[in-house]
Amino acid sequence: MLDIRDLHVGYGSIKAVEGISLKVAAGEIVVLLGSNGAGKSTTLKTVSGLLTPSRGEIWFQDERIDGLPPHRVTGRHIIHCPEGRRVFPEMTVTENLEMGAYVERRRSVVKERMALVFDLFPRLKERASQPAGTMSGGEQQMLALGRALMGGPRLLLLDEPSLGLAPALVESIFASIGDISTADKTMGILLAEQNAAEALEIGDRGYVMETGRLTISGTAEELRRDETVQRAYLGAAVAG
Amino acid sequence: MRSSTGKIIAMALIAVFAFSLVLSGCAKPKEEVILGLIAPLTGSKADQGRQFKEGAEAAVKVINEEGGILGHPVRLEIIDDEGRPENAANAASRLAAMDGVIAVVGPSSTASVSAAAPILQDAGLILWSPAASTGSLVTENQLVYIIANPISVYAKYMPAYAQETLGATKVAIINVSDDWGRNVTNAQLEILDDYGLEAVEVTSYTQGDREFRSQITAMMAENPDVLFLNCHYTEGALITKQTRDLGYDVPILVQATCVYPQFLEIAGEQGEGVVSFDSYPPSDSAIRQEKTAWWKETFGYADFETYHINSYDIVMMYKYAFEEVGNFDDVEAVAEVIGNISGFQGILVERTHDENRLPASDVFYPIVVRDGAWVSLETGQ
Amino acid sequence: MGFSLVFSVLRIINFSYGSIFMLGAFVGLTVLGLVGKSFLAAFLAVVVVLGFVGVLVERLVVRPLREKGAPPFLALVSTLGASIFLQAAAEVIWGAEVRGYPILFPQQFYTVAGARISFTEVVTLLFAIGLMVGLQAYVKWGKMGKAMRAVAQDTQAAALMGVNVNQVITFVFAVGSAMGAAGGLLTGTYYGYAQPAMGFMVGLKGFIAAIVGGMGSVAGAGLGGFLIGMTEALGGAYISFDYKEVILFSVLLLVLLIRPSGILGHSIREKV
Ligand SMILES: Nc1ncnc2c1ncn2[C@@H]1O[C@H](COP(=O)(O)OP(=O)(O)OP(=O)(O)O)[C@@H](O)[C@H]1O
Ligand SMILES: [Mg+2]
Repeated sequence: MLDIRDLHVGYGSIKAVEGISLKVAAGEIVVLLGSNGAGKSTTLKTVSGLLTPSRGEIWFQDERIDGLPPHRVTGRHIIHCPEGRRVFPEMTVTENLEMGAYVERRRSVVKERMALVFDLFPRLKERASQPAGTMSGGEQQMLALGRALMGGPRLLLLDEPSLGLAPALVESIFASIGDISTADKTMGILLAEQNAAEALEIGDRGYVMETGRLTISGTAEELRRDETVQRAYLGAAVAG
Repeated sequence: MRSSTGKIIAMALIAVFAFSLVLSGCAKPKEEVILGLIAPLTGSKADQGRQFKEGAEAAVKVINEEGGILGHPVRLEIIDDEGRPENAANAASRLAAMDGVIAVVGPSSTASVSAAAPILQDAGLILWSPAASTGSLVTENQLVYIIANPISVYAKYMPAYAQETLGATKVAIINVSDDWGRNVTNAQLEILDDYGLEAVEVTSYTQGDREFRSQITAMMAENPDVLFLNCHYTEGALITKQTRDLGYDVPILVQATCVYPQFLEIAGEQGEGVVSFDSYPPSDSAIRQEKTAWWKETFGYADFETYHINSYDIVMMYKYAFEEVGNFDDVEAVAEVIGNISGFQGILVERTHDENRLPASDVFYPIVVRDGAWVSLETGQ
Repeated sequence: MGFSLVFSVLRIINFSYGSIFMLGAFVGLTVLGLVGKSFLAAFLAVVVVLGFVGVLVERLVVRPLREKGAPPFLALVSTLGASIFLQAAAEVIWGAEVRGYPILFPQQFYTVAGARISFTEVVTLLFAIGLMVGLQAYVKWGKMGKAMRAVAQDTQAAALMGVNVNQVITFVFAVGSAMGAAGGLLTGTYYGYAQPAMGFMVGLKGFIAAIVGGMGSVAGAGLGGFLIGMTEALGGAYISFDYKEVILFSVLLLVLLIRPSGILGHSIREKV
């Protein structure tokens, strides 16, 4: 469903992404591995329209979407759950979730989705009327995920959902992502991560990104066994 | 032979002598004298300047038709000062350096008079302003006169009217906090007692203020019988309006500074019934209308306003004073005659000076806003 | 109010607000002259016309800066420029002098607890409160209101939710300007005048109200406005009306020294 072809993105004269091509099909979880500054976030931001590519094309369900403003991309149910959670701190949990369904006009649909999110993260239901800014990091990440789900994603772009979370929480967040994927087999997920071990656990396929280029690609299984990946990401993860 | 030659020479001498007597005694006209006029002919006060000029020209025309001053024809030397003090000082220097100048009419404002006065004083020329109304200009300068009523005179209008016509005892005063506003208020406060009045509230505002509701409420809490507004027209109109908006129908008296069309435009319906005071019979009075008709017919000028009247009377009083003294050289004597003027019949009202050489008059003419216009209180009733 | 709204969403100080306020008073006056003494007609015209002017200000002087990524304080300068332009335009159209307002409401008076209150005061006060409460409620519960808050708290995240950020910002300027203009109309009605220069002090006071109340808080701006009014009235009554502005700015300084973020404000975070 997502087809990125020879994408180049830069910030002024700084080149952050230099010619990557990748695909995400419906029902799969594709992992984008890479260390700090590799260009993962830049890639996701370009897909969701926050950045415009200097070269290359992005196709979604046989439609070219590069250069569209973010709200038009979101309107196509490509939902980007940004790095660092970025919940609205002065809004309550419920309001945050409602914002997630901003483009959805049908109130009944919004209600249904909110019920699903509360099923997935019962914690959010307890905190429904609490301002998001006062919640813990793990709760905020749940909220960010829940908010993304409220948009009824066809394609979900997840940017480092494990960032800054305790290992136990990381595991439960990834478990939830796995559940989300199993629950809806028409949805594609592109997951940018540094935490290769956990990500490859739930992922179907993966790419390794280094300084703006894709260096290795393969199934999750292949990547887990890849020496470079083991040394650079798994080893570090284990040691860390 | 010798004797006949002597006779001829003698007769010739007599003839020449006689001829020269005839020449000097009868045929040769006296030389012209000059009245200087410093007026704001351009700039923001151009309308005032035009009135100065037209008034003075009319008076000079009448004087010349009747044989001039002491037999000398009069000419006006008109200088435009644009209403600016530094230009008034320049104009004064030019007049001081000119031959044949006997006195000066103008300039307009207190500041311009202050600038011109020392220069003219040094040149021994009297200055008489048709518009300035600051009494100290006169008391501090030997050769300066004003014709507009000074504060000491018009400060009496409101108290006199409040007592005689309204039967008021308690007044509230609001004034703009500039020199003029404070001076008028102080002058009023000094004489309130004489009119059986008491000031229950005195308050001031900064020029440019637009919102007076809290001040009005504070004033009205003292239950005054009448409000004195020592204000310029914009603030006067807004205070009036806001007082009425607050539901107070207390009589409101405003200074002549409010007698402008702008006051009526801003105050709108709520301006109705506001009273002010004119030093001259108002334009709708019988005497004023009669004089206005005569003025138009005689001189051809379209209007007959305050500064026409002032300028005209100044020139006429100059003629009177020079002729009383009998020459143009004894400036001190002329100044004294002017200082002592009493009951001089001007074009519209009598002119009298008090012991301080200032205009003195107890006569004033109340005017009121009726149907969106300023009208005489008498004729309007 | 409008001032704080724009600030809260964009973190820019919109100085055109004062001139829009003034234009509200003048457009109202003109409409009253054209259609007769209908406050409602004047209100609608003012809100529509000045809402549109607000949009123009945003499009012409604010958006170009934002799109070039200029620092927000530059918008302060450009909106100040717009403000001066609008005031000059008003002077050309209506002249620089004070213009009087007609009487719009019946001259009726009531006595409540010993104080007299006029019908005009009741109407203008209710109208002002209604507008304030309405705006507050809309920002709290309305869909666009929520989008505004989202943009205010995190512009990028809001965009990712499908919020058309440009549209929201335009809307904010429209609503903020319409509110400011309605304030001008109410002031014109209440104090009975309009003048091109009237916006300057109001712009400044709106700015102060927003600072005193806490930048970005609409309720805070309302509270700030109330405190400013009280300070002026009481300072005027007990000290001197000549010095009411001096007193006002002294209070501003005091508040800033004691609570730099304003009474209801929380500290302004730099957004990442
Ligand atoms: N706003 C920006 N302006 C300039 N350069 C930027 C900007 N954002 C990112 N970059 C640069 O682009 C490159 C890629 O950054 P990006 O955020 O895409 O990396 P990442 O893979 O997401 O890293 P991380 O794991 O730290 O999130 C980096 O070199 C970074 O310094
Ligand atoms: Mg990143």
